[in-house]
Amino acid sequence: MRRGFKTEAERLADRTRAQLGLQPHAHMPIRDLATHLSIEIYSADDLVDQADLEELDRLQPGVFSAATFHLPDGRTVIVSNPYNEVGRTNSDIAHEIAHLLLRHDVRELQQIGGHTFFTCNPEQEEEANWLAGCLLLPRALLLREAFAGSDPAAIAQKHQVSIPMARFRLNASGVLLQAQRARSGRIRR
Amino acid sequence: MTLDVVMEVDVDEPIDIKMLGRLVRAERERRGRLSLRAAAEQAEVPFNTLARVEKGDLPDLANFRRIVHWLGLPPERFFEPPQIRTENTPEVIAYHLARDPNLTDAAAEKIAGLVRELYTNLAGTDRGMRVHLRAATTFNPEASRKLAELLEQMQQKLTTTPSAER
Repeated sequence: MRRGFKTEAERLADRTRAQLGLQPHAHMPIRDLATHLSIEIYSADDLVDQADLEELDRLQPGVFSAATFHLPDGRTVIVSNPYNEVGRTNSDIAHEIAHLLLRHDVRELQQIGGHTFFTCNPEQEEEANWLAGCLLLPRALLLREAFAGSDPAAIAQKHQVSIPMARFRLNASGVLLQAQRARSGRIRR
Repeated sequence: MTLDVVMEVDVDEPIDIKMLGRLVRAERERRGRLSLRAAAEQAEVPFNTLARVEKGDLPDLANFRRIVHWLGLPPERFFEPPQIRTENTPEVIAYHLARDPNLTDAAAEKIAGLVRELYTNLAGTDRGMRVHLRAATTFNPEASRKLAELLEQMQQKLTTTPSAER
């Protein structure tokens, strides 16, 4: 990840949350953020046959999470997989919104030699993951939860995000370590 | 070596992804039984991606190019003329460049790279699908085809549906 991005992302997330009128430690209703940004959200089964989605999952389980379309009339639409849990879907929507906030490149599908190739920019994916985490679980919220002794599962349940997202944020933000050190300091005294 | 193998590719399956996996394994053997991790480092692709490709998965386009380059093949050598989709102009040009006797493989690839870059920057973007995708990093070929088909259907439905937030 490029130097300075993490700090930039924390600030961007704080600004974005403030625009929604959220306190730094408040729960983020991600669909409200989408509405605020004029992004429409659809479940994939509203657009394509359920049987086709089931076939896709049979061909490769868990292959599709979400997609963001930029339509010719200027609309931006996020489509999510209806078979994922609510927490996972919220994390996926946040990830897609992060791509939009960061103005990441949109990639086209390429048909080559009879195969469909998808392009992927690992650096941009990493950036979107990081910003999504900052939007859903900012440091102030994590600190409050960590000092209250909440584990990733409890945080995921309470804030409707995926458990991997909660675990990732607790570890990567350094909050878990901060809470553990504070606790051991209190015990020593 | 590998070009002869490529020529045996089934007409219905112009890039045989399973064969790509076999070529990777053979190349690792040829380079002194390289571990998957060492091969991934040499090819500059993620370890998981190379491991999945060896099992028959389709990588993303950038990693496909890196793997084919590591195998010592310009990507265009993988394609036979009837199977090149004419809508993909840079690949058609690259195919012909790769067969130009006046050019070395490196020179052909360099020109093809410039064409790809220019085409990506200058070609109109309102024809194709513009999508961010949160999905697996590698695909089995059938899943990649099905997903592309579904994404096209989604876009079509959205284009004809008036704005209505769910």
